[in-house]
Amino acid sequence: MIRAFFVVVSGLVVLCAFVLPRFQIEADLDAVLPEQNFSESIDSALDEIKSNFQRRITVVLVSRSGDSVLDEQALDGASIRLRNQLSSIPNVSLLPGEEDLLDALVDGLSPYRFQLLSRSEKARLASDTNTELLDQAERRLYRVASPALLPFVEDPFGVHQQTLFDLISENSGSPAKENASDFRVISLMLGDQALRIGEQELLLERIDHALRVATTSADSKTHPVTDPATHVRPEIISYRSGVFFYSVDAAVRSKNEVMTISTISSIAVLCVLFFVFRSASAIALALGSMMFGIVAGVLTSHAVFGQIHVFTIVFGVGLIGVVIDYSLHFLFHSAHVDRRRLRSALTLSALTSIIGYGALFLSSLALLKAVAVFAVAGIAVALLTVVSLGPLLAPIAPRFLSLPMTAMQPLNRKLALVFAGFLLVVAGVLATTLFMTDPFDDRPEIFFKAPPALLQSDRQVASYTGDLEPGRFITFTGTTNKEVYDLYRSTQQMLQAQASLEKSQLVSILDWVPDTEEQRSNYEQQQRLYGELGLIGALFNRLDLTGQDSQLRSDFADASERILEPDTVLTLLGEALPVSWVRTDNNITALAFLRKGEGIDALDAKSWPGNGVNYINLTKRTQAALQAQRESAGWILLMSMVITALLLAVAFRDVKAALLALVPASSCMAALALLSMLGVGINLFHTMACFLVLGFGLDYVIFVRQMTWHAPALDLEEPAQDRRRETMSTPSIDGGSPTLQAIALSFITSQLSFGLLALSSISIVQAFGVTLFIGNSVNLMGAVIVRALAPVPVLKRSKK
Amino acid sequence: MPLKSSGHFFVDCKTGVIWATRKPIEEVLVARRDGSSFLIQEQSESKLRSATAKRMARLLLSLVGGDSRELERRFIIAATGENPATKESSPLRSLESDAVQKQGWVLTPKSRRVARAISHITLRHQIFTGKSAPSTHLSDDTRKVEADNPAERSARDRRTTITHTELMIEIVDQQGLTTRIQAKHLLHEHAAASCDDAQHIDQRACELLTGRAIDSSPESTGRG
Repeated sequence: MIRAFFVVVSGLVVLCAFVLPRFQIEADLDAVLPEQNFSESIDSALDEIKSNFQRRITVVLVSRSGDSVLDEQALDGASIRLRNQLSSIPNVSLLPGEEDLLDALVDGLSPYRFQLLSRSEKARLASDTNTELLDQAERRLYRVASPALLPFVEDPFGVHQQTLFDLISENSGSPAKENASDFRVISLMLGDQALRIGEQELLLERIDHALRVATTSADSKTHPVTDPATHVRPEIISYRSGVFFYSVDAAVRSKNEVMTISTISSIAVLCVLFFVFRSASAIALALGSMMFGIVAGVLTSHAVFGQIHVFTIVFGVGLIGVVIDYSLHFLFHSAHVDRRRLRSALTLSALTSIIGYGALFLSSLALLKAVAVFAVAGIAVALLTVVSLGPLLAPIAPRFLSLPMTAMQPLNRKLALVFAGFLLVVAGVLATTLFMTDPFDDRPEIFFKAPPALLQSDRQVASYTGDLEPGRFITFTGTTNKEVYDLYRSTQQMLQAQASLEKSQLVSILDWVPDTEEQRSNYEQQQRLYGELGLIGALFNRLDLTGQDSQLRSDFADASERILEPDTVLTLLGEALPVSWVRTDNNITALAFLRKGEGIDALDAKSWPGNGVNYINLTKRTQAALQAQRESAGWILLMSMVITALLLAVAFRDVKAALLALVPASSCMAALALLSMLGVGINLFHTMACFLVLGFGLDYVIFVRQMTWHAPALDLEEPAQDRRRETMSTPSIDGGSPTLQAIALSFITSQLSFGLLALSSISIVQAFGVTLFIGNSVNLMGAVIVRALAPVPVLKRSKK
Repeated sequence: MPLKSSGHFFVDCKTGVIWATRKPIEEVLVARRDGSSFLIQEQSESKLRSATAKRMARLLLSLVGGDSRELERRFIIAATGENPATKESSPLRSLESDAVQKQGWVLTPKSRRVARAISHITLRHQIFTGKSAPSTHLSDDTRKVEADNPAERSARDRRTTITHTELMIEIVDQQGLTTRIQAKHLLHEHAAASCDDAQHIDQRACELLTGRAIDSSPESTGRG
């Protein structure tokens, strides 16, 4: 029956495994964060910004030969080459360059030019006399290097052109803009396909190749860019910035490191298993049960949630590492003990793990729920594999290991009690120390150590393009445009007064587009230029262009009722700027970015009234979410311990059996406290590793209790053998205990598989490995103590 | 009727250009090759900071300096009367080598944005000849050569030399409005005169061009 069920399950698993490559594997940290209770419009804006931020790559090409003309020629050539190269890469779209954006703005804003006035132009119109304005217009006309965005007859006073320049310069936020001749900025957006883990490395290679071609082809013989006098050739340096680069770097480093560690550990585990069992089928059972478990976990989790997060796989695979115990115990005991008893021990072990890990499903957090589903399905299938396939194997006589812990089996009961008491006291003291201090560290930065070269490149790009705080925004939500603008202005004033923030540190679409009232006021102010009695007539008369002002006057009259909306500007800018103005059925939300500078950190401590104004710090939000995940996992861990303790009491029909749960509990506590004493901040990943420590600990004590304490009384001829309880129940091989041998082997393989991860430089992996290494070591000590605490069996003497 | 302005200019391949407009307005633009540029008006002097203003200053540098590669990058170039659409090679190269008396080119902008405001630019370069320059305008080296060899001096006296060149830049916008900017470049023998020797060029402009006065230049932002 079990085998038939196994055949069906394994058939399904194998079948589904073929479709695995088509699975949606999520790698975004935000996907595992709890939902925030923002409004629909804020959520929508944040989603847009997050997507824009994650998919955006910015490249800056710099040339500083000291000759602006040469620099410009070299940079223009390099820009064209780079754009050509990048445009040929699939899943990459180039954003319009600065010139194209300016074109789009000039074209798009031209009909609204009478509604716009920059601060300086407003002041000029308010303060300058008619004569001064006329003189300036004439001077501008004759100036040899006067830039022209609009034809003279459309903008004779230069008001609109200067307003556009001011808007761009005030809102670009980059001090480097004035040296625009010696650098070029190229931005691109990655398609969703490009963000997939498998695609990233290839894409990185292509982007780097494009950069190499762009920056090194400047010395092409066909079109050399050199100073004919000095033969100086400008050197072009490229800097790149984007979340993508960090993501690929982390993925590559993780892959390489985990691959190295896992290769070493796999070889070591295989060697140990082969040394002990000397049987390929035994090793196949051990590894096969894990593989089936992992595949089942992935498939079930994906089926339940529609996708699977990379964290779910990492945690899930880690947690079901415990299933190797099932095959090891089976292989050690199957030849010597009643199969039904062995099966019940295996089932109890699996059941406690399923309950322990399954409790994670009670969490409100998606990540922990998914891990629970993964682990439960994986453990169940692994157990099914062992109990179905195990009996098919030929009996195996494992080679016993000569290990110190196996020699401890005749440990004195009193000594064991003292040792247990000592360990519990130490664990208690450590636990108290742990909770009296604040040993936790949930900062997102600790999970991610960026290489200095990437950070340096990022800083360089920021210095050219303007440095906005990456994850801090203020949102303004209202039901009308006016309400949103009022909130924006009052917040600007409040921040200037309270947080010593410069007005220019707040960057918003609202700076580009004045509110309706101001647009009308701007229009009215320009009556002086283009109205019935406007200066335009006097200017054109002065230039002998009489009569040519009629079109401009007519354009001005037509524009009287026109109002520029933020949506219009955002449409013009496309993806070049993240969406910062969202309109839903009921609300309008404007989003302001924050420019780096003094006073920004004070915003975190400030209390926000919340009446339509929300301050959002995504880093803090992530930190809070990670803290919530850790706390939730911690409480569930505690609850799992209590539940499994009760289950042990029920299963063994002995209240004292509940105390067995103290072993994994002490192990977890010891691991966390020791790490804390060593200055390591406890985070979500340490807590998740504790679930694995719990799983291993429970396995150890359950098998010790089930296989040694419940030994049937045997008829013994020699009282001298009384103390050899293990050998009474399960005949020894070379004088060792099969249960302790199985536990020792499990300990060795788990330390090789997971404990070695402690050597990793990736903090997440290291946290998992080091917790397991310490915790499982304490588990082993606990198992030996439990083994020594077994009651002396009542012996029946045979009648002679 | 084109709107006309006139003035003088001085060009130095290494340092840059000074463009001094005299009529109908008084204004001097100093465009340096290192990318910085300055505007001197009646009573004020400012450094141009906007990227677009600087770009225009560099364009002037290319126009006046005859930087054919830079101009070809920005414009379709045709000799006066030619159709720029059918023009393949650049006649501007002749500016560098041919001893022409009068030459004109039509520059049609390639950039859509520039083309929105400017239909085309006509560039005319006229060379005026006359008697050789007086010895006071000669370089020290030349004077030394002539002192050692009187025959050299008499040969120079007999020669007809270039007295000045005149550059006219005519900007025609999309509405047909034409602005004509005309400036004289007074040359000296061997075309090696320093900025300080150039007539009609302010001392202050020379200081800004050569970098002697950069440190003391005002930091105010000039209007584009």
